[in-house]
Amino acid sequence: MPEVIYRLDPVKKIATFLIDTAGPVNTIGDQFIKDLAIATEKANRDNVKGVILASLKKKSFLDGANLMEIMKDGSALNLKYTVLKLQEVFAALARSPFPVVAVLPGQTALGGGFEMLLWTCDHVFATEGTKLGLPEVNIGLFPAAGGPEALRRVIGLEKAIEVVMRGQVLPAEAYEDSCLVTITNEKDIQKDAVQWIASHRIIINRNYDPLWKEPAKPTKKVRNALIKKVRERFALCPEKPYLKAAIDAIEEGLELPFEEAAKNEVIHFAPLIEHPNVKNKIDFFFLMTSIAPRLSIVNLEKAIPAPELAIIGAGLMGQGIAQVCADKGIKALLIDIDIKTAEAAKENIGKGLEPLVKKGRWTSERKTMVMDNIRVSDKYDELKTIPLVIEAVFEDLDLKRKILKQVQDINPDIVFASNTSTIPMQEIAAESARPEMVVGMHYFSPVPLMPLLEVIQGPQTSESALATAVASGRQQGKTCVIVGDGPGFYTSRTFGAYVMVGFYLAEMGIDPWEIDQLALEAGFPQGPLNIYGTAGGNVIYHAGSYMQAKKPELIEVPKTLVKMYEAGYVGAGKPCFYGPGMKPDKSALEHVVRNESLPTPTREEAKEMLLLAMANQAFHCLDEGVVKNYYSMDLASVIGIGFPDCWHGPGRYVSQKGVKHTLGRLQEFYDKYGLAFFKPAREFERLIACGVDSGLV
Amino acid sequence: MEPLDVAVYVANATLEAAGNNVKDEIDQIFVGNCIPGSYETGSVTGRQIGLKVGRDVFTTTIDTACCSPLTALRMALWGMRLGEIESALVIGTEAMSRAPHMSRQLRTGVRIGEVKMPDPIFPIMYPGYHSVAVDASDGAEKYNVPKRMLDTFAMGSHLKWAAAMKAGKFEDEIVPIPVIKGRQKFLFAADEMPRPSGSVAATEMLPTVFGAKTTTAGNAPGLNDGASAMVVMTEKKAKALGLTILGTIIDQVGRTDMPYGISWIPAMAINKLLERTKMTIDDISLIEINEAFSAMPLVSTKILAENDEKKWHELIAKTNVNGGAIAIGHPVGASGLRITMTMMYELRRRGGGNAVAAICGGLTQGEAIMVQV
Repeated sequence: MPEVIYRLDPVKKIATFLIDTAGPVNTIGDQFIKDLAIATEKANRDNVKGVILASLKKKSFLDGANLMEIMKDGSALNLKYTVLKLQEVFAALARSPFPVVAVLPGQTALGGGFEMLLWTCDHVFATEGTKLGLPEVNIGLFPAAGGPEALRRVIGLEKAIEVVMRGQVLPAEAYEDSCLVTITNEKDIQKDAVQWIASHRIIINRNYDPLWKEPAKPTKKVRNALIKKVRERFALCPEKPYLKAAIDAIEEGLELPFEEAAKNEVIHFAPLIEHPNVKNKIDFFFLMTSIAPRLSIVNLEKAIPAPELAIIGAGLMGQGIAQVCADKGIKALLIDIDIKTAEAAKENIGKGLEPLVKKGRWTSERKTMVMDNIRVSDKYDELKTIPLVIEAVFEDLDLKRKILKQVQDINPDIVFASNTSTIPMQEIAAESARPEMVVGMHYFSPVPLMPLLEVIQGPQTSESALATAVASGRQQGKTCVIVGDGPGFYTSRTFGAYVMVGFYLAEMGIDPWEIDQLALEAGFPQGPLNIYGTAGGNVIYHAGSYMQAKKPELIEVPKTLVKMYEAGYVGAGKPCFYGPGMKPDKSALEHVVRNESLPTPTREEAKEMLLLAMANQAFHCLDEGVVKNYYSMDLASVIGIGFPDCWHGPGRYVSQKGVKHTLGRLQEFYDKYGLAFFKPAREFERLIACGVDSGLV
Repeated sequence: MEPLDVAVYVANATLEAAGNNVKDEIDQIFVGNCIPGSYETGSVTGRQIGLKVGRDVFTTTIDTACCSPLTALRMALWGMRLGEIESALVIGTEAMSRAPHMSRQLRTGVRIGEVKMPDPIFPIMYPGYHSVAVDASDGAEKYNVPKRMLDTFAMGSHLKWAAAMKAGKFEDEIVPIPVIKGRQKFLFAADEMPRPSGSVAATEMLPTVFGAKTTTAGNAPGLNDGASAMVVMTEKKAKALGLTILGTIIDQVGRTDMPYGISWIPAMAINKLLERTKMTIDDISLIEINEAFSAMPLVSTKILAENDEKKWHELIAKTNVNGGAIAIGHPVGASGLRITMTMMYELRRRGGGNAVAAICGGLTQGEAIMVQV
């Protein structure tokens, strides 16, 4: 069975290429390339008046390269020839003397699939729900089948760069303003395509049209400035070679004819496959997609179905949780101390969704459904019939205990999930008569965007409460990672280590804004001092102090952080390291407590210290049974707290650097700076004793 | 090739290892084997091998499960100590891939209904007792060895094997065997079991088996084919023949415990050996404890370290330094001699010293041997 089926309508003389590759979604592999070439030949031979590209899969039009096939061989040389061959086949179709149109009734065209549309198609008809994108950088690669080149000709350089460098996948509506995409409905899509072909008998593919006007084409000077800015923004970290390669290819392509520019992309693209960090990214993709669902094993039979749940606390987190639940069809009851606050919160959710609808990312029906699914109240009585309540009030143990008591007085059988970032379940449930019903559901802010849900299993948490939390979390579309109990659990503790060490670096004499820059160079998405402001100095101070009180041997709060907090330098409207527009606020400097007794680390040391502080804390969590296994360690650290994704996570980082080497460096830093964060976890010694220096993850 | 021939190849290579064939100097042959049913005729397996080797001397075949080859060696030691013999060829052999599924129903005729064909090696268990996988897991739990440690040690086995392989350490101890597969003939020279490209993370994900709490395919060895052989003789005889002495057996012991104690019996056997030789574990520079499961080396070293964590780690670090059965595989009747031999070669590379090897056997018997190089 060919992966591209050729169908000819002998009356209209229009050929249809039906894509149907092996596997649940359509992917590009050797067989597809061969079959596309054959179909193109046939269309030319039959002298057709036009070609329609379509997919036989319901959800997938064509979703990029077959990763398994690429990884199986894994050599740059083979990859180069495969992509060049694909380009040749695209070129043959694009240069054919007939118009090519694609129809996507609610399907996805990703990576190479979208590149095929961009290269070969004169027009694309799509319906609502269709998604187009170039997510390659998310797996450590970049689009190299002419994608960046062709996309620039459709939406302009600046926007194209944004899509490529951020790996954006957007609804087809986002491309409606361009010349390429028309949104229609499923009923008319075929007819529209045929009509379009009939009215565009003679058309030159824009990629080959010397007279083609690129939208918003910048002058050379503006262009160079843009590229420079993009480099500063995306290609800071040398550990992410794919980002630099993408920019290089885009920049060089500006001076080349289309096909040559596309071939040049391959020169930058193919060697990436042999880079260990690219393998890390691809492995992480599989960790997310195929391992993550098997990671958090719970007895789902014991899960209490929760088609409706309640959220106590209508603050930012509560609103986010309510929105996510409602969006997935779960009825959400949002409870706050008075009805006005609760109503205002619901209104606020609606306001937040408006821009999404305006930009075409959301349909208005989706917004209506979300709003319909959210109910507000100020009465706990309503909890009588609800199986699951998520408490999302601020981090105050007494308050949480009080609410737990109130809730259990009304409904003792309710599963009580606390959205806490630091307070152990054992503490929250200490005075409860039913501690087994208490479980942790630690969300990350902003809730609708962050995929991770840290589910905390206290020592008394029942199988049923745990399963209920995980089942509901999955229903909410979250990636659940189960962790054990303890102050700060896994993510807050490990994240705390990163932020605190950032402050310590300032105390050791590195300029605070330089520290954030170094963090970006090390691959972190955000510098530690910037985070202090964006996450809220109050939150960090309280969480840090709490964890220090519970685990003084591993966690310390730097004096500078305390001073800044006391001086009201806490961000979120208040002064901090950065003023409006990310302008450094130099007045923060007077609160930095310089520690002259410690040597100032070099730039490279500072980067390593940030990475190692996090990795070490993660291994301590493994030691203590808070982190259950290595895959959980890596998964949660990257999608929850911004451990550089190019390393796959702390486990792979240590594995690649070597356990002995890591232990040695930690010991050096511990001896030199005396910081608790560098006290090596005992797990390292165990690994070495067992002869495991690499091969952790 | 017949499965018996694996042992014949190994025996011949051992007899010729010194340069001049010492076949004619062998007084008796002792063969350890655990699943005789794997061979064409499951009886006097040792004698069958002896005849193929071409040495017509009295040959004993013995089954003490995984202890078999070391028990065979201990019998040779008895013979030499008693003065009955001056030399012996000792062999351990197993062909687990050939173990037949068996049915007792057929002999008496089958009435209406199914014929059952149980697999004798899946799971390995004895009537009335737990599967050995469960015993191993319970032992790890009793001695507080967490699952991650079991999985880490298992991954370490693969990695240590890979490092030793790369350094060419196995060249002296492996004899390649010509194998015909279809129309192709090739030399089978490297173990096919190890998976050094795996990870602790992936090992952790494997499901537990046979109702055990921590035992998985990842922290257990493979069921493999293999054979091992050793020539032993009195010092006087070796010197008279002008042979190089690779190592000296200081002593050997066998010991038993409750039938579920297979994970700690290696430690008990080693302790008995240390008592008899009036030595302590600190006098020992290398340890081999057969990786019947990760639990055996970990539980046993923990006992030997008397629960001192630091000392435990030190002992683990000198245990199975070139990998073990989890990487290479565990042909049950052959492993005991293999670990003894691999330990002797490693001692030689390290300039000598005392070393102990220990193995657990079904229903909790243990063999331990001390060697000096």
